[in-house]
Amino acid sequence: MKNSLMNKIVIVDYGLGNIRSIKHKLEKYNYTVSLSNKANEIESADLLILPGVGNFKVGMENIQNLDLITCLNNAVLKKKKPIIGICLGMQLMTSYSEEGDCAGLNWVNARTKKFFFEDSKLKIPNVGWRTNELLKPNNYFNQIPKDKYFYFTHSYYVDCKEKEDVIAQSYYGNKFTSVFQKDNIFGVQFHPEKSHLNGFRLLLNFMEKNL
Amino acid sequence: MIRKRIIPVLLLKNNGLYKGVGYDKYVYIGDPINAVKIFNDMEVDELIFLDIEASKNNKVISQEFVEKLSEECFMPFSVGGGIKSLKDAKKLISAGAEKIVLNNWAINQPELITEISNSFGSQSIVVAVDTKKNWLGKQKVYSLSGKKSTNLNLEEWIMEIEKRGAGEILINSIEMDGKMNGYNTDIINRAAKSVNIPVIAGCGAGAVSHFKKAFEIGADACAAGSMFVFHGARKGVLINYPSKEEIENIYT
Amino acid sequence: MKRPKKCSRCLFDETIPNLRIDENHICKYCRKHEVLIKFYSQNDDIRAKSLIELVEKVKKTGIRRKYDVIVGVSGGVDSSYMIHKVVDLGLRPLAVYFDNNWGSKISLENIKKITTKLNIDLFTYVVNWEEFKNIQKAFLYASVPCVEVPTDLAISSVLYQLASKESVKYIFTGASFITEGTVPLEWSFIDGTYIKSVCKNYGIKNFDNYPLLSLKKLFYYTFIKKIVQVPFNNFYSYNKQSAKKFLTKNYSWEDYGGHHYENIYSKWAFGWYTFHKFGFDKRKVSLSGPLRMGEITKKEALEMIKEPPDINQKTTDYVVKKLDLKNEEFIKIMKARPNSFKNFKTSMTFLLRFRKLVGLSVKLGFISPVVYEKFFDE
Repeated sequence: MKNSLMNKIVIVDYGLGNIRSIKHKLEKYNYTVSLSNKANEIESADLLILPGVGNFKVGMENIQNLDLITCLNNAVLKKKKPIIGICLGMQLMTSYSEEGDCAGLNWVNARTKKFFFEDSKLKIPNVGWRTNELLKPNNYFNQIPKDKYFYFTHSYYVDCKEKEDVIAQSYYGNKFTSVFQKDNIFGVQFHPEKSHLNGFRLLLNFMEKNL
Repeated sequence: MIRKRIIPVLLLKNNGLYKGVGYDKYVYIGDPINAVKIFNDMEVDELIFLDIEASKNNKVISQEFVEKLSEECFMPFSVGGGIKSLKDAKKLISAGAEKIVLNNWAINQPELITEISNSFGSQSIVVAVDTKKNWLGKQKVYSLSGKKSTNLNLEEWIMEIEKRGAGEILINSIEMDGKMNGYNTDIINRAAKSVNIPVIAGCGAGAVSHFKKAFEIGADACAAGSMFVFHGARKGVLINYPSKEEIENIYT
Repeated sequence: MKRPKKCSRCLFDETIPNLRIDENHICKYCRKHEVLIKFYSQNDDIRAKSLIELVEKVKKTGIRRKYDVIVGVSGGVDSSYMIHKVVDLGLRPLAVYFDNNWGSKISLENIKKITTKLNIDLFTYVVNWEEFKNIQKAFLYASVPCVEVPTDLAISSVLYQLASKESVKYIFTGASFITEGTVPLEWSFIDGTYIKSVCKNYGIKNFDNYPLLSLKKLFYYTFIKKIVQVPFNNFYSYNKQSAKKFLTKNYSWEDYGGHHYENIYSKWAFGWYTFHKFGFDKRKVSLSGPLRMGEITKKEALEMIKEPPDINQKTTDYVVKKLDLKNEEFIKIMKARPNSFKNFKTSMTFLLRFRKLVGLSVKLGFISPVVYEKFFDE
């Protein structure tokens, strides 16, 4: 169902992330999207997007300083609003990150770890187009051909502790969780808004299935 | 081999796209937004936009332009041209660019690399290095579109760039620019060996086989300009990109 | 008895400007087609002979030159098939592409595939976008239906420039009255004076980069340099559908949909703008060609235009944004009263005076009869 004026999509603006890009692209598809760091707007959203590019510790500090932890917990854990975390946004949903030795939002039983390779032929950050292997069927990947690559750019990766939360994995030196889902919480390490139209289809599917 | 990126580099001048030979002669390529639309449809890996007049005119690549790009672009893109402060970087990243490219100002103010890296993460910053042999035959770094010699030694400078926190390095061999005869594989190899961050080969590509060679000797990505905007013996302007089959062949 | 407003043979009806239907209920465009068919014989033997003669003439003029013919390419089926034929017949073409900054991935890839496989040189003229954008806007503000004229004239201009520069006497173009019919003049009037007049109205006084072809220059190229434009696809059996299949098989050529849809602005102008603002369906022209040749029936053609052209809103949004038009400006353009080329200064009055001379030029082979039929609207 296309979004009507009744449906509110809110991109959480905590100072990190390519939010304009996501907003404009969704608006081209007739969605009404706002950027916000206000508690009442976040709690009353119908769908949330947690973007993010940058430093985990800085991200968590910004969220704390903006006093967003309570309203995010309310919206996501209590009211079960659908939320998609992208890249750093996905990592913030975990319990802890080695980047800054810092606690996360702790919504998903997972930790964020630094890539490290003995054989330093593999450079860090992991930048580029990588495979995304679906480990179980997932509606958000409808109409996306299986062999499509997605764009990743990160120095830290998510290590999911609960197998049932892992939807897809990617590979860079080692396998790592590229997509997790726990109830209304959905996280992707890659950038769907930067992975060609197939990638954007994922975002559109997330909108369509939740609104 | 893990998939490596093949990246068109587009040069901006007065709101138009241009391509040059050897850093001083330029041919008009057309409207940048149309180019982005075509590259989008071709599903290219990434784009780099560099404003070649910015530093010279003491300006920064236009934020408004970057906003327009981000509305059209469904893949990551980097922008560069006169960026000289954290504020400049912030404006462009908020406008929608994934990465900013530093060149002259990384040399003038290397602490800027660290500042930007700390705020936006190392993956948000690419440092471009223009290099050529000086009259003594030493591989030196140049600034201001290859006109000013800095006396910086290539390997020392790129190790410094890594230390300062950059995410990637773009190596441009000035002598090879626009010739489409291949990359300077010697310096790409040396650069790739000196640092643990991704190295992008720039300047000189003319065929898909050049990408294969560069990947084999250690480049993590390949950038090209002329190859993606010219076609044929007469260098007719024609935006193009290798087909999926040609790219697959690199890995077989 | 009141004359009917629909042609009994082709698809032209009251939406076609200045349509005249004779006592046999046949429209003047069908009659023009009959004239042209006589000139470009459909008899295989006669046509084959004309083709050989033409090719020999072209080869002769090309001796000691790098190229013997200039061929305009766009990535579309007409020019793609034509250039294949040109090389197949042993000619040495220079392919010329006019980039108006609206080309699509498909059109560019088609040009690349064909020129690479045929191993022919490509020259591209990229018009300065900032300047061209204003010219295109001038035409939209002028509220005339023929908004593609700036591109069409520029293509002609560039082809002549290259022919002159390379000392080539022949330019081959891909349009075919047989496959496309003659486009009503109201929709396609093309002339340098006209473009200058429309642009002046919008405040554009000079053209720094846009290749304007003035009547003076056209005379120079035609009568002094003796460069001839030939609609080459008229010299052999040419069917678009068969051509598409052939090109796909031999060159991996890709189809882009409707007539001229390989260029995004053309696609929008022909498929959406003229339809929604003027109520003209340009498909009636492109289908009337095959209809007159008996390749499709009237019923089949009517079925094809039952639904409006399928151009989605995103294309219009893209065009409006790319031209830097605000929504209010665009709405104003769409609501403005339709205008005609006749309300601008053109070369028509001058040419009408010399109509007999133009007719003579056709007889002497300087100009194709297609041009005569297009401009001299009886």
